[in-house]
Amino acid sequence: MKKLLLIVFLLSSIEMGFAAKKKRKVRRRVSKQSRILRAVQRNVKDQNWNVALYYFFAYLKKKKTMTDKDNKLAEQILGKTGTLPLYLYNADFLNKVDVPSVNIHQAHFNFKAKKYPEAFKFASKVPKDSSYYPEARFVMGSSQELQGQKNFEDYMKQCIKASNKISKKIYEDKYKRYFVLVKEYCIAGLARSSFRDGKYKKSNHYYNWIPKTSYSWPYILMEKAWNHYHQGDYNRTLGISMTYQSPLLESYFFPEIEVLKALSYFNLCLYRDAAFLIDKFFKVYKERSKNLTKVIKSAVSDKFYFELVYNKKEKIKQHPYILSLRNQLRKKLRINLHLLSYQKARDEYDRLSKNKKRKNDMKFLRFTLDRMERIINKNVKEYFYFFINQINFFSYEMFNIKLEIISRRKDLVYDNKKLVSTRARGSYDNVNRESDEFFYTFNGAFWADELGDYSFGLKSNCKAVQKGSK
Amino acid sequence: MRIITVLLTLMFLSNYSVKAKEKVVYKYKKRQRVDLGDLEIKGKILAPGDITVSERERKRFRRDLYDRRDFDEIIRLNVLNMR
Repeated sequence: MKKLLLIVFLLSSIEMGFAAKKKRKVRRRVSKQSRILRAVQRNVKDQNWNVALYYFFAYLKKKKTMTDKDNKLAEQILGKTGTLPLYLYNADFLNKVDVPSVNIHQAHFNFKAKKYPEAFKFASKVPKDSSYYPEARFVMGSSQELQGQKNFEDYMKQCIKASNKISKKIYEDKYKRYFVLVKEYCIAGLARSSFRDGKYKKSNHYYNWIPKTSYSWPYILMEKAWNHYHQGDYNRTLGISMTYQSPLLESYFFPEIEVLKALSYFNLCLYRDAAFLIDKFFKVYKERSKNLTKVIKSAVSDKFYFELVYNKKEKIKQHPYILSLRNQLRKKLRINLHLLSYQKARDEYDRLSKNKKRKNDMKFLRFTLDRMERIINKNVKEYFYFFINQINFFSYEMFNIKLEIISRRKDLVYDNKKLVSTRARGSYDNVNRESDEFFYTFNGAFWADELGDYSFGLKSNCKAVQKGSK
Repeated sequence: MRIITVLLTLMFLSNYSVKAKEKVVYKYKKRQRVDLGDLEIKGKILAPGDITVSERERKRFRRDLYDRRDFDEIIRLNVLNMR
């Protein structure tokens, strides 16, 4: 009996010892967590958002689930840093952070990798009351559209409705512009779907919702031109293409519009005009291609492209054409947002460098700045390669058109025929317009309100007559 | 044994002497004449008597010129340009 009691006593004391050790471990874990949380709160108070984000994610790493308080804190910090710092963190870790900013970042991340179902899944997690909701609906609609699903139009319409609603409540110009841009992208999504289905009038009707003062209007104009081209209205296509010659749109990069112009002349059988345009294209774009190649070859440093967009215009010594491309790139939403996030991190670094006790935080910020510079550099570099590839691609297409013109002229010679006239003249009889389309006569000056509403009045020259006949 | 070997050698020698006597003279033809007109071929003549080249229409090549049917890559670029 005594022995039994002794054994029971020994076992219970061993168990109590383990329980005490466990409690001590839990206490140590809790205290480290609370230290990290205090670091987050301290940095939030000092407005060191990038450092706060780092500590916050360190705090989250040990936690299994996030509370509402954690969600609010995450949104507060990410609202200040932007989504660019999220590229520094592991995508698998970010999957467990169910916060709208992170979800929209993950949606874009997967979209970029062409994982459209995953992009759709993350974007669908963004709630209706979030400011990212219109963008999320846009990503969802685009993912569905690219997968050939028919229900994408619902998401685009939700995006338009939500952007309208939110933008009406905002007074700050830049912030408002973001929602307006998202809305216009969604409108363009609907228009593009109609274009794909061959409903060109309906597509143009959607494009007309986008005002001329919008940032996306110069890009939409080319798509409108394609609508008119497919409807056989080559005069209106040429009129729209001519808008790009106005000083306001001179810096916009659109070699495709030149090809569309050449095709329009070709379809009107105005071979001489088409050939002249093609020769002009090669002269102009040869020079541009040379300048672009020079820039790409001179980009020896890792951060050449970043410095091109970040530094002030006065400090950059480049060809005027390269500077105009640079200005175009700085207007792109992605570059804008990334430069804003970078500048905030930079200001944070300059502020903290005065405090010599924050060496670890400084080390982290230096790493953050370096990564951000590399990401921005890569994005800008992609654009420059896109520009040069576009020139090469459309040069080939222009050459193809030229060969076809030579072939058609040869056919006329072999058949002993000629086209009905060598040079067409314009006439109002050949101008077509819908009830919501305008028509302006061009008197040597581009007026801002007339841009995009020009039309030529050329008659088709495609009738062939025997040579020697009147 | 000796008788067999003697008989064999005699047979061999006789064979050899017979062969040595034959003299073959080779002569090659210097000219050969073939008269095609004299050849006889049995069959029906299907081809026309005159050689003609019939006129055919000139082949007209048509290139596939650039045409845009959708804006899928622009849709993708629009999303990538956001973030």
